Amino acid sequence: MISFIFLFSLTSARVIQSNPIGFETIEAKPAPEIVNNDASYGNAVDFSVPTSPAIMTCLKKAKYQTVFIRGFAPAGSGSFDMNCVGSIRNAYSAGLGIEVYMTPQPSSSYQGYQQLDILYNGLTNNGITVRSVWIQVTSPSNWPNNPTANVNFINSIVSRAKQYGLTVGIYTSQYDWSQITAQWNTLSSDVLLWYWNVLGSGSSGETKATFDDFRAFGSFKKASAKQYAQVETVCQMVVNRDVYAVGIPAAAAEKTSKTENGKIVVGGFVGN
Amino acid sequence: MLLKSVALISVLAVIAQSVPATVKVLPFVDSSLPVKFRQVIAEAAPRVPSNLASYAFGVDLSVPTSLSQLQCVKQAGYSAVFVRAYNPSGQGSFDQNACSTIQNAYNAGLGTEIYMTPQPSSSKQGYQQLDEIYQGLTQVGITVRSIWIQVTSPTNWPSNANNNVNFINSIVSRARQYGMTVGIYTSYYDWNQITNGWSSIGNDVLLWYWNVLGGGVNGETPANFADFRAFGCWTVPSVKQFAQVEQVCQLTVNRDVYAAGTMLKAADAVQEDGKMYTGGFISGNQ
Repeated sequence: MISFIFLFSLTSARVIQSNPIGFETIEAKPAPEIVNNDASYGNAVDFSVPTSPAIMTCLKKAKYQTVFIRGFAPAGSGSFDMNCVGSIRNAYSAGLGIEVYMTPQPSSSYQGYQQLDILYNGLTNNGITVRSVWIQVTSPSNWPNNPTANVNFINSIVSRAKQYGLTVGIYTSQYDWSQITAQWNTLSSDVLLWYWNVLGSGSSGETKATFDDFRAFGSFKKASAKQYAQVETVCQMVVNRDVYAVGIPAAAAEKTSKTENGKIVVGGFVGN
Repeated sequence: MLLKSVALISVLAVIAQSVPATVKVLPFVDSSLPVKFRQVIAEAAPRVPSNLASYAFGVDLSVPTSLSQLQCVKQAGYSAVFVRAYNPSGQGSFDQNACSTIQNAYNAGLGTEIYMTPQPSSSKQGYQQLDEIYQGLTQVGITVRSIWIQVTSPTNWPSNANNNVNFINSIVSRARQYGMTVGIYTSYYDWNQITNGWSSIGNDVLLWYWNVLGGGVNGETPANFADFRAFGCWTVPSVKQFAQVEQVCQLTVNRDVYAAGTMLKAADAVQEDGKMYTGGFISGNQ
């Protein structure tokens, strides 16, 4: 009996060793040009890499109106993403709208509200006034397998952001929300949704740059933004591409970045 | 013990007093608590179109069935049932319901395929879990020709992609040893999350992918392979799950399509040796 099992396991082991593990590598290729003439949607890119003033000017020329910049990075215990300060200043100079998102670290020793504080303080200390923040709730394998703990964590961030008077949005998908929060549906209705849907990375994996494929889930009855393309290059930068609701088209023209008391204002570019 | 609690409470009271009144002390009750989770209730599925020549329809399920229910499923235009043969709860176990469902499907004239929802956190290795299925079915006289391995729900898998790859490989290798055709039931996102985009599983392994916008009729995507994009080592799919959690013949099921030309007639399969077969209805040739 034992030798039989031994033989079996040897056989299995041999087969496993003969297949070296290969992993698909994803290479970003240039994105198609914007051809969408629908004035009710604004065009945006989101990214977490450093930028230059030239890149921002290039984005503006390529007809992107707003950039979503990562302000909090999840590595380690999580930290303020220092790249965002320069990117925000560059975006402002180029006349782009600016939104900030955070990729929180649910396994950190920092609680949700502490991570939000780090982001908020990081921005205000650099002379940036925050109006809204988007919380990334994606990649279930990066979250603990405990929906209740995850809900409490997200709630801690949302509540703190509201204390600061910020508009709060969640960046997620129906499947991510189901996996990470077990379809939590009592988040308050003033929390906005930025959802994503792609068939794969790159331009062959894009879905339509509209909200047609949105289906209500959790507490979200409508969408404010959609990420429809992932890992493409625009102006030689690796980005994801988005559309967002601007509301009345006439109002869209007025939505350029501005200053208050000499400080750059970020957020508030995505309407309901 | 009481003294300790009193001491603790008084310490907390002092701390609470020292916090300025303008800052809320956490944790505080938020209007979004108590936490509620939405339950998904299955609604009736739309009809199978009668003139769709290129795709055949199937349902996949993990609930027990009766003969009349599967006869109803056949009447409704479905050609195959994908039956769960392994239950992941606890350490994982052979799903006994599979035996009667395969019997019922055979009597109703439906083809069957089996899928396993493995338990990656079990003390049982991948190949051991496959063995349980193989033994469970052969013991009741069912010959297994193919098997689909469910690799979905990243939250149910450990976060170590290499371990997950080895676990899946253990199942795939064992299935090959038994001479079975192997397929994976997954999505490009699940595959990325769970295996980090593993691309060397082997060209002989088939793909059953899923894509829905949400549960129920409202969340369906078109019943075709138009939304498939190559990932992992797969350049063509064999099956697509396009609808989740719907009612067909009072069974809660998910709905699938596969290329019709590849399906063997259920009757032919029965004739061989008088034995009952499960699997082998889906091939990789497109």
